[in-house]
Amino acid sequence: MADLEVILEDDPVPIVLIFGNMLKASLALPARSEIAATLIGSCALASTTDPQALTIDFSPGQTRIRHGVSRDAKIIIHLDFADMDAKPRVERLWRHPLFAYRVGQLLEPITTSWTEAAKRFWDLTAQIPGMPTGIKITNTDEQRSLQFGSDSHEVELHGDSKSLSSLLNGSGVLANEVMQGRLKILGSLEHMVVLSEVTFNLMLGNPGHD
Amino acid sequence: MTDTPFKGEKNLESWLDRHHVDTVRTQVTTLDGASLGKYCNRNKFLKTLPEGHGISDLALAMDLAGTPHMTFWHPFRRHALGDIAVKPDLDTLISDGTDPNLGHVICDFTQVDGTPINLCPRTLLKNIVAEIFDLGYTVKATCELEFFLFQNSFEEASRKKYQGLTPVGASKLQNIYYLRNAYHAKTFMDEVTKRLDWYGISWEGWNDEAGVGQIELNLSPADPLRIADDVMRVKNVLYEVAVDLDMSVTFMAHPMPGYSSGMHVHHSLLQNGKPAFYDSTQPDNRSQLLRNWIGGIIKTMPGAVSYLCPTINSYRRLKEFSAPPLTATWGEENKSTALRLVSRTPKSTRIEHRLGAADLNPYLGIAVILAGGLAGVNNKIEPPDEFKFIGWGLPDSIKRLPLTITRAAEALRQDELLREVLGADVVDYWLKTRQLEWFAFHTEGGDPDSDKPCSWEYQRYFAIV
Repeated sequence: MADLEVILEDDPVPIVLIFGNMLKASLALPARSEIAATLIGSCALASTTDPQALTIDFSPGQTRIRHGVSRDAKIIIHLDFADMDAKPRVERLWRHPLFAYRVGQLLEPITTSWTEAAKRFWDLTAQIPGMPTGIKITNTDEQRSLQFGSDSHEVELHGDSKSLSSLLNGSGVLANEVMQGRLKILGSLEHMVVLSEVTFNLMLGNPGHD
Repeated sequence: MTDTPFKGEKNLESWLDRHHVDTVRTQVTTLDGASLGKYCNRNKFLKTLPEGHGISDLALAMDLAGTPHMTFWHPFRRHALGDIAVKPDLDTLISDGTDPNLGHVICDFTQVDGTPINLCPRTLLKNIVAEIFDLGYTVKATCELEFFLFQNSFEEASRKKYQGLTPVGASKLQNIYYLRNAYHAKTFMDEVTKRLDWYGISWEGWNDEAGVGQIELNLSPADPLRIADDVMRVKNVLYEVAVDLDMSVTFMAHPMPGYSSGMHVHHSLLQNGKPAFYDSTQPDNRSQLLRNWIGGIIKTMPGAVSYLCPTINSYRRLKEFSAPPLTATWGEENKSTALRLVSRTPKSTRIEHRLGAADLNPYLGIAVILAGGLAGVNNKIEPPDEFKFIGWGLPDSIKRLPLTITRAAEALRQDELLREVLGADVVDYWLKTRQLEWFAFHTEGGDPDSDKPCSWEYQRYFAIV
């Protein structure tokens, strides 16, 4: 199966970058890529709390994402982007139930274990200037820790499986997660800021340091 | 009446006594161009000299909404939150004509031991001016300040969510120079100019501008640091007079449909006190220095847009036929180009840079313009041909300046000349602040498809920039 290209609008807004990043990761899975290959038409996602919205256009060989709700969208998914666990409302579902089902499959978060996510995160970011030389990540559900880098870790990160996976997979910004109380950190302000920058860039689809 | 500033005197306590100053207000400017400071008891003020009082390092590391910069770092910051200092420049110490016990002083952000912080906008401008001085030149500059004035108090404007405000003026048409419009603002401006006179800020004139309720105030030329200091002081005076008279004023670039507010920067170089842009031996009277200076400013202009148009709202101003330039062009007496050159006589020869938005940080805005000129001289950059056409309504083949905050940031990221003059760390930190501005707009309620300013912009910019 040929790779599906994900093309973002020119000068993309954050929500387009974030969903573009999510969709690229989703389409990297062969099963999902096959689903996407069957889709033709547009779906829109609109925030229930602010003007953020995007439209995903599926066509053979490529997927385009732009901001705003297209008039041609087959379905419009209304959701709270800040709370992806909240149940979305799907407009025009009854007209395109199969399309909606398949789009839902593509947008389903990829379930990666927190250990896999942590390893991948460290591999991607350890060389970025300012990163701690070592980090200890503790899963509070499992009461289990993983250590990356030097033994004398400079930063400790604590959280439950879901919060850790979400952050390390690029779905959140560390400072925000800590301020919301979902994660705890033991480290300097500088390391917290650098890790926040790294997770911010990861969320926007740019894992490198710019 | 003009008060006597401290500048030139030696005994500070004696000056404070003579002027009955028992409180000194420090004023320092953030990257976003906001005024911060403290009202310091005289004894405390004296005790902290010369380093100045402490202030949280977040003062230089937060956005206009007070959100700390949590996704980018600079070595000036403390490792677990801490203080930096606000170092008074005693040459700027003046007394307040309205409040007889108050003094004002302009400051730089420094480390607590007095070490300069190159990220401080005022320090950055000082460094650029010093580099130009080292080449044998001094700079004379001035700014045109445009702003909108409303009959509504700031509280009322906020209550009305900044909608349906009453601009000052006789006409609701977008006319300009109308004395009847200006007369509606005269009571306000009389109080403003009275305070400016007291502060020793030399102003040349003010007039009704093209927008409904818009006024332009022109300052007399001076050295760039003095002009940037004066701009910050004038903005505070305008704000304070508005508060005192139950009115409101805004430096938002585009607060409502129609014309927008810019901050044109005029400048020229002198060598041994003589105009260095003028060369009577040349047929066009333009010196080689002027050619290189223009060449550098034009070459770096796409990147400079990021500093000259710093906010989301700045870019609403950049529209065809609405006065601001859209191309990196220059021309003699051409107000549709980015640089309007005036080179008729030695005395009048100057460059008017017309791109800056009213919401720019004057220290950074002037610094990036001078940095462009400096790069032009250092690298002997020749300017493109003079643009002798009207600069709007041009074919698509003519390259436009960046017209969004992200495109301007990208142009700055790629500009090696500005990076070299301003400093890589300074540019990189600025780029992160612009990314934060962009991200906050889009994720905190801003509407990218709205053709007029949205609530997020008013909340963030109306009373602060």
